[in-house]
Amino acid sequence: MRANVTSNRTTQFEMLSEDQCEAIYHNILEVMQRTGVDVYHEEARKMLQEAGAQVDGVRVYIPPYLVKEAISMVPDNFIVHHWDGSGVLRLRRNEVYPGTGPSMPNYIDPYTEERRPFLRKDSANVARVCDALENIKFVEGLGSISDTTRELADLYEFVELITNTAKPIAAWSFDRKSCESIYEVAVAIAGGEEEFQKKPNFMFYMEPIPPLVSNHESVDKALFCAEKHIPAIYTPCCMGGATEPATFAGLLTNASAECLTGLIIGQLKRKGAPFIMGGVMTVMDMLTSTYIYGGPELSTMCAGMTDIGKYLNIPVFSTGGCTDAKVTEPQSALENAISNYTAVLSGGNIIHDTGYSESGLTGNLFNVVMNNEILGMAFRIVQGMEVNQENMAIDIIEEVGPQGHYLLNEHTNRNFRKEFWEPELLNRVPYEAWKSAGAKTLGDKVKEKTRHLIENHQGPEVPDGVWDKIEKILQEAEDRVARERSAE
Amino acid sequence: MTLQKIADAMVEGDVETGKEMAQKALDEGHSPNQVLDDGVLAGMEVVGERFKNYEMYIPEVLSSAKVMHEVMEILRPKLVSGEQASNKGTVVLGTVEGDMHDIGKNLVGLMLEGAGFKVIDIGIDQPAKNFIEAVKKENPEVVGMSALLTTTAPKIKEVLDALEAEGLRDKVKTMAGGAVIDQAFVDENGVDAYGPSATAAMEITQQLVDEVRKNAS
Repeated sequence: MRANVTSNRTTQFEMLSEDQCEAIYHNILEVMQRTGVDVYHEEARKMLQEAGAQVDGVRVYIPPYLVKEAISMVPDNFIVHHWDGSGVLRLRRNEVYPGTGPSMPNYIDPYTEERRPFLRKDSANVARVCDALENIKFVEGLGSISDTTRELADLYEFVELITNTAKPIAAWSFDRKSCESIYEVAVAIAGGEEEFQKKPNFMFYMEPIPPLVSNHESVDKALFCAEKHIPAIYTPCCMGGATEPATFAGLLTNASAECLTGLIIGQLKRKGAPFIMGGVMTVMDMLTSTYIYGGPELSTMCAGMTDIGKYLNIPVFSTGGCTDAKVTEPQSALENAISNYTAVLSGGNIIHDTGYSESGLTGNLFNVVMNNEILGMAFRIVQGMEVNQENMAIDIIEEVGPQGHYLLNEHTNRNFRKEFWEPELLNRVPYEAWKSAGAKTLGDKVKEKTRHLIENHQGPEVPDGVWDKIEKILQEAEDRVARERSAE
Repeated sequence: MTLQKIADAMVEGDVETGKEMAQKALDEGHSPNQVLDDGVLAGMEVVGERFKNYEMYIPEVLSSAKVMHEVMEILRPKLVSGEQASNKGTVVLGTVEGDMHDIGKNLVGLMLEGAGFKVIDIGIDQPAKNFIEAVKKENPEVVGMSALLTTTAPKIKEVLDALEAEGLRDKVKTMAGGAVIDQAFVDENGVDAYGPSATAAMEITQQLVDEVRKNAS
């Protein structure tokens, strides 16, 4: 027995110290009280005013006690379930779950490799491939469907995703009505509203607009999520130097104020409503005006945001696995690896945007498959090492001594599988073997695996009777849109 | 030499030197038009070229534009054809109804102003009727519409339909931009032009203004 052990079994990584988090937190409180935020939602403004905020038009000045109250009410941990009972995401400090990203207009066709509009069948394929990838823990659709009723692209996407994987979906929608339909689908799969309340099977994603604006739709959806106990991800897309300050601490201040506005509104609606803060923290490229997804700024700031979330005891939405490259090439590998590794290392809870490419304009399923391998490496590093009697191997070192070897030792046999990480796609075979097997690069193997999964992997069986319910929900939504269109 | 220094100040984004040198050039006997052509416009040409080639940062380009504005304040009253020299064309810009995203539109507006166009920015979440109102009031050559969302992009068509209904469609040229807009979208919906960036918007605007003026003459 060894006394007074200080153990760092996993790697330790911190972007902001507690002192820095505190400084930024005080900054956030000042911004919310003195600068104020714009809330384009009458009911929400009224709730805020009744709770003590000062309201002037759409501008809302939020006193620190309201912020603190909301932080004290929001759960610091909760569970999102696979709908078939095969797993859970435990959203609590440092539990890391990477997944894909949402709603891009374009898609790299996995066969022709051409960039084209995103289609309904692509959603199904994205879900099935993600279902098979062990390190993808939740699913977003990678594209905005272009071949269904336009107003219902969000709903059709959700249907395709949730019926092709049991992994939790992070859903999005244009407005509250689609959000309600999405909820109905999730309830149908869960087996009723009560079952859903016990075991929520999806999270919902909405975006305030920097700087410091909560638009009507986002607030509307946040209120609905709070009401129904749907875990809400309230996430700004921050563009340093353009829609936010160019300095990282300034950007994180505004971004947090945007998130916390959603938090307070949700908690006022229903105490304890599950909530996740964070987002895409990055900068505008000052030469091209591109919104940068592959830069070190994103990883630095998302890690900073994660530390702020931990400081406030609120689960965090982080970003990784994304790239500005147009096709799957070395740039995508580099940017995917660094961003996902940093996000995992920092302990972000829901790490989204794997498969995001071309600065958020094109979904790329190949990159998701490649990221699965990257995440395997990242997890292994973050797993760290245990320093105990067995692992220090002192008796084995003594036994083998100088000039011996460890190949035949039982200690090796017992431990190498635990300690070593095994790649699936990375190439390690000797040159001749590699050449005679077709001289395949990582890119080639990623594409092969993607196509293999599309053609062969089947997701979970949807329970009996659920499809009838889904068809009915879709028909009702179609009827609603038809009515709305004819009313216009 | 002094004129070159004005051009250099434009490129450097140095407001004080720009103003000082413009005054000096006038004092030295250069005509206001000379100062405009060989100082201001010569400088802006360098800036425009560098920006187009991704060699100059956007905040620097905006600083150069600021120098131009300040120097023009000095020159404008002295220019014989003062009105004309500053009348490069008018653009009405707005983000369409239901959409509150405006960083792209703002950037285009700043760039166009920098290039010397008169920009009327009607703001975010603007229904078609507000575009019409602005066109009637400002008499622009170009109407620019911005949308970030797939749900709001169709509102661009509504603006075009409203222009048609009001008999204004032939008086202006239209352009559209935003994350979900591409060439196929503008072709389908009858928008005159699309630009993928603020730089492209500058060139397109010039072309559209030229076309409108040519058709009018």
